[in-house]
Amino acid sequence: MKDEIQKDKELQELIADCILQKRKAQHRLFKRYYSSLFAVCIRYSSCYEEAEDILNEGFLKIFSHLETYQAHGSFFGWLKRIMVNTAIDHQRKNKAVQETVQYEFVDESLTPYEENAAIGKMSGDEILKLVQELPAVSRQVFNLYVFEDYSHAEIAALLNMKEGTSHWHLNFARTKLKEKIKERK
Amino acid sequence: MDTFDRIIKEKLEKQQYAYKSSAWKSFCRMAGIKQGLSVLQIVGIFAFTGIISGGIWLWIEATRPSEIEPTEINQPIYEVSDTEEEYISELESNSISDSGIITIPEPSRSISVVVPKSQKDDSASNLTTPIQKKEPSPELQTKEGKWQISIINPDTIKEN
Repeated sequence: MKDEIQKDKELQELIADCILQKRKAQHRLFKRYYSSLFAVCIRYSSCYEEAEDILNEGFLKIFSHLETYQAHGSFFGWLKRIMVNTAIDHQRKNKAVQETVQYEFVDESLTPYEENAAIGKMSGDEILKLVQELPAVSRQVFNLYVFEDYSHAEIAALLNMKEGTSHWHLNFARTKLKEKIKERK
Repeated sequence: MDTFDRIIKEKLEKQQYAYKSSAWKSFCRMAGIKQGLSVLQIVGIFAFTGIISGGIWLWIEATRPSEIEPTEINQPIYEVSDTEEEYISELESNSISDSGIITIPEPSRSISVVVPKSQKDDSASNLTTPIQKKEPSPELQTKEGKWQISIINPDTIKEN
């Protein structure tokens, strides 16, 4: 499989122009990846405004570090990684946002089949809302594990925690989501 | 990753977020980038300026006092014949048709009289023609052709 960069000459030119700080090229790149990168940001944030802040910070990093991109891997993969790191940094900076996680017992009365059927009927917006309602750290762990395919060891290194804690946050996120689905049902 | 996670992943990855121009503006504000005017904005400014200046021009034109422009004569000019016979014959041919219906020439048509230089004096003399007196009935005239005043004495009138 050929590289995305080699296939897309237009993208190569666009990146070259962005490195030269051409404003129109930067606008085009922003427009081109807005939708897919905003989808990443909104999963890591608790609201729309926070997602916009993360997106802006991420694009600023992208434009200032574009010359460091080496055309070995996927360009979108590179952009997404920057955006995820920006989202994690953003929440680390905003310590006031950090909340205390309540340890509570959840009665899981739904069978896995019922849970899957229930979530299958829900729309993307409804599921997104449930994910956004998760505590910040649990949401990060869940996103990194499910969407970015990170291992617990990688998550622990990135979020500066033990692997066991990463496991716990993932289970907590799942349980919370199932609980909310049950409430809706 | 179990089925539950997979369903969530599939659903959320399908989510689409339409691009908004306000997002780029927000980014420029955050990054301290000065934005230039877009083509649409430039066109809008030109259109607005055109409408305003056109409106002012029309207002000035409407309030300005109107000037009387000279009327161009594009209607036929009738030439009057030099001789009296020709004029009469022309008049007869124009005004009375064969069927006896009198046609009146259009009043708006102007007639310019062209008088040759040589006949100017003669025509002036023609204007001083004496006014014709109304002739009296033949019974009132005397044999000599002179007027006579008769005085009647009321005593001399015989009664029947």
